Amino acid sequence: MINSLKNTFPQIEQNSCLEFRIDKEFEIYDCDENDDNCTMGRCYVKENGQFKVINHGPKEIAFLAVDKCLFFNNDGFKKCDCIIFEDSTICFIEIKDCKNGQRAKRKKTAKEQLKSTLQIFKEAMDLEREHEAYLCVGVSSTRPSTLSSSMDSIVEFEEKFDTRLFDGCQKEFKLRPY
Amino acid sequence: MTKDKLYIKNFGPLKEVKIELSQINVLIGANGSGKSVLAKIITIILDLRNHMLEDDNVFKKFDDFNINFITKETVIKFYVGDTIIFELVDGHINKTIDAFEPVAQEMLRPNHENIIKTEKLTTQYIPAERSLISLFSKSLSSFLVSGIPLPKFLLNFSSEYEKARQEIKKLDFLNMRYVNNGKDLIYYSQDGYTDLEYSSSGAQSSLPLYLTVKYFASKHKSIIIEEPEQNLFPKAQVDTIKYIIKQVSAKNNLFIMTHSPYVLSALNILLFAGNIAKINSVMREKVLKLYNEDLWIDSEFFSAYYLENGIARTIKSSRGLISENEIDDISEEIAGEFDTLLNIYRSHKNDK
Repeated sequence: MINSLKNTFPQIEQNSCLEFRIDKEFEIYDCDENDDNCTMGRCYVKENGQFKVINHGPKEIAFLAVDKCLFFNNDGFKKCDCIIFEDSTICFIEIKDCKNGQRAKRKKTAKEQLKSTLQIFKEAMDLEREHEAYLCVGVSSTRPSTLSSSMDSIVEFEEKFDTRLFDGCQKEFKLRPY
Repeated sequence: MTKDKLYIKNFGPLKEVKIELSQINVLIGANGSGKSVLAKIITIILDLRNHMLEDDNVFKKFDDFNINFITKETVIKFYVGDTIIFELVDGHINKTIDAFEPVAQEMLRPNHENIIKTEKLTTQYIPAERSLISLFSKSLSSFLVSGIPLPKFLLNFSSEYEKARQEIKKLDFLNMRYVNNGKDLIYYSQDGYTDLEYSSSGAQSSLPLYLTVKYFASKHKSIIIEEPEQNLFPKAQVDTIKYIIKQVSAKNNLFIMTHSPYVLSALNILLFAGNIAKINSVMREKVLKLYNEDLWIDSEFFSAYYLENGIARTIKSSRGLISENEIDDISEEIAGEFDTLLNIYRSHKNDK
């Protein structure tokens, strides 16, 4: 997978988009527009990030910055913020803070970014793992927690990308009995 | 199969609406978006398919439903398949007789009494005001004698509700039991009961719905329900949708007007159950263990629209489910408002 990624997207090394984390827990921070605290344009591993990764497994987790690292705005297509993966699962993640409201609109945009990135990766290479996609939009849960529109999106991601879609800002890699 | 279609232009709040009429239909929209007006037009137009009216009586129907918004600019067209069978243009009505149901064609014969009686309606409208009926049913005759003007559609519903009460003497609904032993009683437990008029707002609002849906599904073709969620706890909303879907058969047309995200989610569950049960026999068996077949909705025979600024937009996706819609957006925005406050709290909770 790593070699395949580097061969398919040689800019990964050139732009230092890929890193490996051995931490049992780490957080991913994505800069919102007009964010004074943002030291990097792209999302990166940082304390008090918006997306939390918990690793119960023995292996390290790969973190790949996608937006503004692997791909840039002038590439002309939508992309999600980052990807994390280990041997069994690859997770596509889009983070939106929604500090300025418009949560419903931003969630729609986030879905499109995830779909576009899945499309690009699935066309470019064999991902060889279970696919998951995360809409990390805002903090609080909606009521009902699974809206009718979410149900439709879940089915769409299953049908088009064979991918499990989640509303949430946390991924837990479980210890697998093998 | 080509679905029936309704086209409405310049009618009250409706600027230009073109919708397909399926077996099961859901309409959403903000207050004042014209959902009720559209529901009432559908009631009138679907009924025309089976009961031919003289033109004056068609116009009278719009009065009866308190929606006489017809102007010279109004256009209403009703298509069965691709054929227009009813057209109101420039204040005049045109009908294509051949496309009507045989019963209606019969009515067009010379000397036939073609003024319909309300009880012959094949389309029944369950209004949002239904809780008033269970509350005031005893007083209705006094209202009428006193000359208190009540909308005719409400009186028609009251009359139908009375018939349903006479036919269905006992009904279990929402963990309650309705018993009509001369008095309308609501049992909350084996021995604990109260008169309907003293029961909860949920019981008063839902009993007329539960009774009439069951009654109408067996006797009439189309059922139009405004706000089935009225006064109900979310779990009861979902149970009510399942009850409604269970009652209607392939012979019925059902129209639901709603403001509730729970209603939309419940419909999506039944649509998805219907969709995946068709894929293979394993899935069919597994779905059957969760939902009886009479709860499955076939997305081929389902339509969903959002009404805004007098225009209808489909909210059914290519997956056959209810997709992005403004009711769900509001749930997102409410969660977003909480996020905003949470961000303020997190950023400043340690400030002096």
